[in-house]
Amino acid sequence: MLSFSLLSNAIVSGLLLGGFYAGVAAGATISFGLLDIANIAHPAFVVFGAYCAFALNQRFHLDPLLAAVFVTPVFYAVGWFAYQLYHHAFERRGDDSMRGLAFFFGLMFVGEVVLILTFGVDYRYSSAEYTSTTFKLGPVAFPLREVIPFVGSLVILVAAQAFLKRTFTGRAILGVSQDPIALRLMGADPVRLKRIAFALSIALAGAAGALLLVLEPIEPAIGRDFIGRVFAIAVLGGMGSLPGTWVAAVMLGVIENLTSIFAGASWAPAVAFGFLLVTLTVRPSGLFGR
Amino acid sequence: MTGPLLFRAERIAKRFGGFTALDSVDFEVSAGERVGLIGPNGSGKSTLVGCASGSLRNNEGAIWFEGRRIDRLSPHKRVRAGLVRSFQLPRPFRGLTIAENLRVPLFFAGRAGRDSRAIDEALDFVGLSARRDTMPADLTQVDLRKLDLARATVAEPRLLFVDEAMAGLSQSEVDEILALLMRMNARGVAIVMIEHIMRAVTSFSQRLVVLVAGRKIADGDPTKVLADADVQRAYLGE
Amino acid sequence: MVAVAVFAAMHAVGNDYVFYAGYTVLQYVVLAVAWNILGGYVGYVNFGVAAFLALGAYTGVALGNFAPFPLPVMMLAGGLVAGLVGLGAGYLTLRLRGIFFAIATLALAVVLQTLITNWDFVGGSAGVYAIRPKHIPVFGSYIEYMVFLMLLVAAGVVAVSRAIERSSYGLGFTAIRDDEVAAEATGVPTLRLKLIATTLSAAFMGMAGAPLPYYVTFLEPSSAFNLSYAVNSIAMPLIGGTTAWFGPLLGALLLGVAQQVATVTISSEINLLIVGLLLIGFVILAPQGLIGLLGLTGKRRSV
Repeated sequence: MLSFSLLSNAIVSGLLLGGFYAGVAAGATISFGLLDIANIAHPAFVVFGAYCAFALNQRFHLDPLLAAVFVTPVFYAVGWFAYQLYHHAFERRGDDSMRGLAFFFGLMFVGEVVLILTFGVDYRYSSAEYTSTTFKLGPVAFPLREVIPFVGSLVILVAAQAFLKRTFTGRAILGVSQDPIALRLMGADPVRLKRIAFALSIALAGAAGALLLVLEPIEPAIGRDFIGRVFAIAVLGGMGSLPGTWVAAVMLGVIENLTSIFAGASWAPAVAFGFLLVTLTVRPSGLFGR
Repeated sequence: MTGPLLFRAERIAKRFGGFTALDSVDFEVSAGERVGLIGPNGSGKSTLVGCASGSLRNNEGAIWFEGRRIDRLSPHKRVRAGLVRSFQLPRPFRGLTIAENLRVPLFFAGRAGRDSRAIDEALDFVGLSARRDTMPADLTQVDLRKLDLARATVAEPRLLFVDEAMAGLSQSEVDEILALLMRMNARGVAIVMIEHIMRAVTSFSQRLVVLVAGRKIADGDPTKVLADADVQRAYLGE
Repeated sequence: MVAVAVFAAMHAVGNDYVFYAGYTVLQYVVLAVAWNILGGYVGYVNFGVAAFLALGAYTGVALGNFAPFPLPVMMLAGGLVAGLVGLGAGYLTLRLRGIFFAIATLALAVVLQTLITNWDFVGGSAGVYAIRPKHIPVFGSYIEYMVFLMLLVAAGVVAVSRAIERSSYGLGFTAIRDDEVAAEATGVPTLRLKLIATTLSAAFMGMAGAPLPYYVTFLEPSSAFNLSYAVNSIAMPLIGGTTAWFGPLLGALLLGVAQQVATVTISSEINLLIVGLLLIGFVILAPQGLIGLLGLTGKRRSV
């Protein structure tokens, strides 16, 4: 039965979730959309970030949002080294993308197993008090555990966009994605810029992970749900456009949530992949594509 | 000596998102002709080659080859029909030796009933016979270009688009490639040369076409074209 | 011929356990060599190995619900279904870049798992029992029968692999892997070749999956679609070497046997962790794989 309350709640929840997905996908928009690095381990980094936030929460009773502040620079460093490895092993050799993909797949898988060995397969929660609070606006509920990741992701995206558009380094990164040869002629080092950008993408993943912990209980395999979402959003959003990422993510969130409620939760993952397939077939440059 | 019309692109338009790379361009090549295609960076030369060879789909206009509409044909089918292109940066098959690189067009460019002598001939033609068992990674720039041309030769093209094959080469190397292309043309291959090296393009071409910002602004005798005020202003005088 | 010899050797050991372990190793031989046809030769990564394996398994289950078909028939049917699905998925996504094909294979696994979990005809989420038939043609036990059939499939996929390597198809595959744009511009019908590779690869994976219900006797979706199939199927060729049929075979034998031996001593998680780490290590440090390290690749090198 289609009640207004159910429908409006589904839409609002979808909007909030979608906004959060945008934060998760922001890093992938940078690494895949701008740098053309097919990092399918990106969601794995997000989950790792979530577990880091969880550990900090457990050990030091640190609120996940505060944990995000600590996690972000650490993940930046991790991303920095990961790119070094990737560049020396694959990009520099001009290697076929098959090995790069296998590399990230291996990272993703090893990461998951490490999490299983460290934390076990049970769901883990954060012990932040506000996660059970809910605001109500008429019949529509705004659970804080959804609102906070929504807002947090917005912050992530705005900050990233400001960096890309307003800082010299950021604009140089945008430049390297368009024309690396011209950039080299100007004296900039494309490798250094890409390293910074990739490190940034991982840092964003870590921050989004902390938000994930606020949103829902986590378990090691949860990253797999996000692979489809992240790439669908990156492509639909125009491969490198952060505003496009946000819009695409919100759209996905709403449709996925509606599907989940009206057709059953097990069909939700298929929505993201379906999105991706349709986009690639019909308009590969996405909604906001260059 | 040029023959009947071989290739015709009529009112070709190609857009990338909001950017118009080609705007209603007409381009013709006759059998056995040597055409030079010049223009500033970003003027659409490579886009035109892309549309001609099939790696890009033209948004508007029509393309004919030997009297057939080829707009819908995939690149490999155009190669089999006799329309071949080379790339701005050499693209050898890095996991294969030089000779094996040539086996690919031998098998796949659709010329039935040929054997490996065609490979030997092609290697001989470009002067790479001594390097037949080398891997591309061990070749010099000019040899890589020669490999590209050898690959094109094996495919037995009737029309060859050569996209900036001389970029980054020394004077004598440029002459080597130029001589190669002249020899190919002497065999009856129509060649469209996209180049920035003016002396090469002017000495090679029977006809010169100038593209600026996606539009053709001149098409004719090289000396006359280069003396044209518009061409000078748009291209040379910048 | 080798297959018969191997089988005779196993029989000579007399211990049923050898057959159980051998089945798993052989299954991985098939999966690894099959994966390599598309992954190693053409350069397109398939993450959804489990999807094709499960298609084979569940085709068998579905058929079995109608009538007790003999296992070879189920294997052929499984191969056919998996091959067709592979062809279809390939047709939709092989025009796109490799990464999108790879993600599509993941998507296939996810969607297929959802479909099967919701389809009660084949047991749904609760799973389904597969009882081994009492009447066994020729062989002493059903497991011996399954192992023999698996040996045949393994011999088959290796034969196909070798044939590809020697044929113009193999040349075309290598050209695509090295530079797909250049291959197309040299006359290689890239889409057609990619589809052929995908279909063959998927079909063999389906054939390997058909006996699975009878091997485990109880089949349920979450284990049939386990990601460890993908990890192993990718790790084995990358560790063994991707340029020749011998590479994935070697990788599968080594890793398969090692894992069989290790399952008693170490946990399955650590087992998979090691496989994953080996995968990463080899991909970075030894891109030619073991056969490269041993100098067996000859002139053809994967770049």
